[in-house]
Amino acid sequence: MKLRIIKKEEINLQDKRFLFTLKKPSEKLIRTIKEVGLVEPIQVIKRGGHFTVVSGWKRLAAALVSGLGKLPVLELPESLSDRQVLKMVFLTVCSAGQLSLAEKSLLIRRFSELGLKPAKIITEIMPWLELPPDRPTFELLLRLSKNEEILEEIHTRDWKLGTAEIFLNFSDEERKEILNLISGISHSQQKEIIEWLYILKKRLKKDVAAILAEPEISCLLNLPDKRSLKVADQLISILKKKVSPLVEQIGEQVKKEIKKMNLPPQVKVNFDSTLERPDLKVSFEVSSKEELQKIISGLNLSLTEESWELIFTLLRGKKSEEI
Amino acid sequence: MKKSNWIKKIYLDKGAENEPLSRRILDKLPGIPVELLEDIEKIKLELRLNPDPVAESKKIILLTKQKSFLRPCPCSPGAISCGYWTIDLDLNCPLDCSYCILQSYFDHQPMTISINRESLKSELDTFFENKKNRILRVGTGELGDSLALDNLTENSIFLAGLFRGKENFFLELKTKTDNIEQLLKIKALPNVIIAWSLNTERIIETEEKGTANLENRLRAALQVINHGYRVAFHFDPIIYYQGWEQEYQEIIKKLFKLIPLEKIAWISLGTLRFPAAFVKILRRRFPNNEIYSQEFIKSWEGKYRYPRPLRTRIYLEMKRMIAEFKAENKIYLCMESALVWRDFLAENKRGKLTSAFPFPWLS
Repeated sequence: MKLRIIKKEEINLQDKRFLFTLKKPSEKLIRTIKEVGLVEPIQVIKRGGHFTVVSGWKRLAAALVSGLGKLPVLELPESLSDRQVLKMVFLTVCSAGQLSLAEKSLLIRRFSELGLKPAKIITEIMPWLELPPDRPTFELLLRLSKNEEILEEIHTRDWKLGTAEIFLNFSDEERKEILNLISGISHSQQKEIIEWLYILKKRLKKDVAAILAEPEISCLLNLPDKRSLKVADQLISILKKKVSPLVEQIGEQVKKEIKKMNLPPQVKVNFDSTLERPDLKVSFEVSSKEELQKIISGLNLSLTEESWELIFTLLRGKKSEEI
Repeated sequence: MKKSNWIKKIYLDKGAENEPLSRRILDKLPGIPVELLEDIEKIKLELRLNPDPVAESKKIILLTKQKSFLRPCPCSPGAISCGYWTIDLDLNCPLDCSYCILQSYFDHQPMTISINRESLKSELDTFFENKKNRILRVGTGELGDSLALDNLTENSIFLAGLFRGKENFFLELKTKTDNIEQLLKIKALPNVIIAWSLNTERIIETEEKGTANLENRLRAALQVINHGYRVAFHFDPIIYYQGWEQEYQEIIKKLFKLIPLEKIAWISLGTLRFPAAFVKILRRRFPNNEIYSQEFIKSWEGKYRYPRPLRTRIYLEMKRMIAEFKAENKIYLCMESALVWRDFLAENKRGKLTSAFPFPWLS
């Protein structure tokens, strides 16, 4: 390896054969490079008369933003094959920390583009990436890597394999629609929205646009802060009600009846939201006999209401046919 | 599954090559490549590298020895058990039902045939001795279809022989095929029950690839009855969809029109359920499947099921339909909670409910 100083023009920035990381340089890194220059050299290799970046994309981006014209580089021997180089970088990056799912998918694509056989990628590369070493996962990641417009979102929100897999089941058009809907919200919210839309699409035999055009959803999506976490939660709640109408409606009626009874504020009434168990858990905390007396008489009074009977009937599922 | 043209390759495990059953099976499968196996990992790797490992696993046969065969059915933790025992001679199944949880249960397991079944004899002898005062059911349809490979293995004949004279112990052979040829070669025994899983024609068509159609299953059931056997039926999984009542009603009508009530040993009901890990496989293998877009909850043991009020409604409706033919007292529920059982039984049963078995009509 040779340490050299080269001009930025000598680097072919379009050649991304070894690029699989998606991290952007932080403001701090840019500031540091502006102050002291690039201390840690970028690894490069000669390919076709130019230098191709092997590793150090983040530093390079920061250096270019900082306006550096000359860059310190470590030049790898030209005799190394692309596959050897990629394997070297991948092992270095893997030992330094976790890659996101999007980065893993890009890495698999890079190996594939360099002609490494799927069997080799599955048995030698995927275990390193802590991915299930099987062909279906390999193919899924390859598909994912080709959807460049979503890789950044997947990377930023740290999607898991399951979410990405469902997402790829939507059509191109629907994917765009969903991406527009979910960008900027948390991963768990994204996951729920994608999952619920997937189920509803199948159950209602409607495409995503038609589901989102339903009045209660579309009015939500027309709000100025439609990308806020609060609106996302409201959307999830609407979708959940559509996905689980029976459980959600019974649950809502139970909550309504509990509220209607106006129980003493210290009393908490909980129930199994899946409705598998029909029991109610009534609990309270007291710090004096008087307080206890007050709560008991409040509860006693509530027994005259019809709500308790209705709650138990609902929890036993006796009214489910009406829903 | 009467023909064997679905088999791509046979692996012969070390030590299995000289077993008489291996020889017999190989003789029945001329022309199919055979390879001696050094390490099971070789097959697992081969399957992992296939775009559809589950489908591929159904095309590869492994002839091997197992350490033991008999175990109590694990049921679902927290569900009311029916006290079933299973004999696992074959692992995996050549049929390809979309809802089959074996898809996620096995880790890249080929179609595995145990060629040392003779050692089951001593296991069963101990079992019969230890449980001699009980009435128990034992079946082979848990990790595979009991009759799908019967033309190759003749396991039905072998097993029936082991249960001869053991009146307290029922052997149940559970299938979705019409492979009854072997069973018709031997004298029927009163404690050997041939059982069919039944579903609506729509579900058989769309979800039960490679199985016999409803008519052929019922015809096969009638044939074994005429031969002297008793039969059982499993409506499991019952699948909820628009119009399910009418379509299940139709099968029930067909069933009782053809099958004499007194020849039915039991009928089980179970609604669709599946573990969380199964969903991933399902979405990959059956992306257009619609039966999983219904309403499900994650139940007490982590499996997905229809919400309890819906399950209860389905069971009561099925019970009503079956009661029209006076067979409601033959029903039990498979892997259900005590609460659902109580609602199902209504006021008929009091006291603590811990086991669904023995069925009153058997004792």
